[in-house]
Amino acid sequence: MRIVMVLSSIGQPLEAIVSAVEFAASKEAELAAVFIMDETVPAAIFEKLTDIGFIGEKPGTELESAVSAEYRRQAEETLGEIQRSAREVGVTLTTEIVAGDFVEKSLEVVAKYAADTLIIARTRQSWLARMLARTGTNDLLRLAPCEIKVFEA
Amino acid sequence: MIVVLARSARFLGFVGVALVFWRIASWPTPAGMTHEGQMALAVFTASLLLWVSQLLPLAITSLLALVALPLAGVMSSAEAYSLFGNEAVFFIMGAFILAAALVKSGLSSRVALFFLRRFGASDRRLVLGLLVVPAFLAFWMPEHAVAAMMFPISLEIVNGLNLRPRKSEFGKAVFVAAAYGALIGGVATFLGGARNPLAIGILRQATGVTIGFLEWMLAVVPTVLVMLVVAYFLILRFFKSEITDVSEAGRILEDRIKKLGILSFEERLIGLIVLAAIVSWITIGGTVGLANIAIVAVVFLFIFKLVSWKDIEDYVNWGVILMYGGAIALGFAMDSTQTAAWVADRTILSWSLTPTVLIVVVVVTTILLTEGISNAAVVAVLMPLGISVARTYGIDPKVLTFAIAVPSGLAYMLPMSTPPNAIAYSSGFVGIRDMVKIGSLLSIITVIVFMAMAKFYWPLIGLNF
Repeated sequence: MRIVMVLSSIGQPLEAIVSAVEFAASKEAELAAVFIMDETVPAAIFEKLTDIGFIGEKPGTELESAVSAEYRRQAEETLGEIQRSAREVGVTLTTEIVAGDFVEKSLEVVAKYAADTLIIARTRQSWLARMLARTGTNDLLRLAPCEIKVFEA
Repeated sequence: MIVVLARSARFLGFVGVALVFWRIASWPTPAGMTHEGQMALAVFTASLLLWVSQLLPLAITSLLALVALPLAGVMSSAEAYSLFGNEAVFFIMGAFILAAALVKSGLSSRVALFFLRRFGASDRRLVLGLLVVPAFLAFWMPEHAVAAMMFPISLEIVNGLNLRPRKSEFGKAVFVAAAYGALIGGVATFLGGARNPLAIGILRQATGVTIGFLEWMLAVVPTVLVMLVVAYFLILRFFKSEITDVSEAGRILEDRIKKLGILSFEERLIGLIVLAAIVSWITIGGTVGLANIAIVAVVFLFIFKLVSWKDIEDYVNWGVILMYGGAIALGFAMDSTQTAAWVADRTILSWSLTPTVLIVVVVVTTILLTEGISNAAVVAVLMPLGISVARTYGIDPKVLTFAIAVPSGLAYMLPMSTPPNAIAYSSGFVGIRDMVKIGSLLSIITVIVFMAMAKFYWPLIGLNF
């Protein structure tokens, strides 16, 4: 069995990640943890600085790079934590960092790894937030060609 | 599919704006309004919708307004384009170029680090430093540039302290302090936010009255100081630090200072020129002219070859000229055609408010609007109405100028409100909920502090209402 877990720059609680890894262990599955770096946030910051702040291109680009580098660092840290959890429960793990739209890239990695199950770890949301916000998770529940498991904490 | 839907929505947005323009322009001219006034109102409303929806970049909307005014017969082309050469626009341009020299030379980072390292002894002091240092810098350079400059420093501090994004309360405090410091400091002078000289430009164009550099600081700095104290205690209360040892942050700051090396000759000279400009703005700005001083200082930068034109192109976004030039022309059109007075008569003036309640309404409206649209757009929209209201009430128009320009820079609640908030949010440490919680309380306190200052302190410096 192959399971893909997708993570994003929005941040996932460690408890949800650990539950997801334990689920993979219980199924004796191979796990691929893919961190999708959201490029829209750094791009939006750049746009805000230039369109509203009227700051020149250079400081805007430098800030965009700083934000992207920080997201990569956070991604590596999160994947490191998953590696530790996977080692503890004996799960075979592959990790990857990709950049792009969360839903689009999630569907791509599901196809790439021929996943049987897609795992999404996320922070528990209030019913109001769920009702108001259009989330990538909701889009994936609709679009993914495989079973989806959502772990919340 | 999503792209097609987005394009359709954008197209429908433009159609909607065009329909609103057409609807207002084709009304039978209401009593008390001229045809030119009616057309000015149509251009004003269309510009407002475009600024709010951001269907076009802010600067392009301003440029469109500038072209639409003569095309709609509100004023002649010569008159409209001459407003582009307003002194405020050239002051803003000069101030942005001086700030570019500070950032490019590294002098602004050096000053930030120099002061910040004095605050690194404890978690509370570090938060105070991260609030006060950007605030002080935003007195003298654009707040957005300050926030962008502070970001890598804050990031290095939280990473050095091994703080976890979204989990660490101290991490949240670090980024929120830097953002709010830049925001609050940015209202203190004409240099922190270009909306301040924009407001003065509209005021002067409509009434001939102006506010000097020192006069502005005298009226606003006490509010800024109180707001910094309030923000400090609110940040400590909302984000309770989970760490006690911040010695690593001190080491990081020292390392950064060492990497900068000794103060170069270019940095000293840039510092001297900027300092001379500030002293001149304060002492002789009223007689010599703020824009003249700014431009002379810029020329000195080039005489001493301290910056190249390429540097200026890299660090200054020329959209600033279009945005503010167009906004001043629109404000003048609204005032000179009596349209602002007509709108004010049918809205705020019909409520028969006392002067104090009127100012409260203006401040609250400004704070709410600035959360949704750019602060410069808020000033461009509200200033013409404010001036009309001041005339009717017999209030000093300077009071309304402060009541609009100062709160328009204080958007604390949403990441999308203003670049410093967006930068703090992008760190991954601060969530929207965090910002809304502390920001809403800070906004309420801002109204109270501003009104207390207006009521009890301003009369002491000759500002009455």
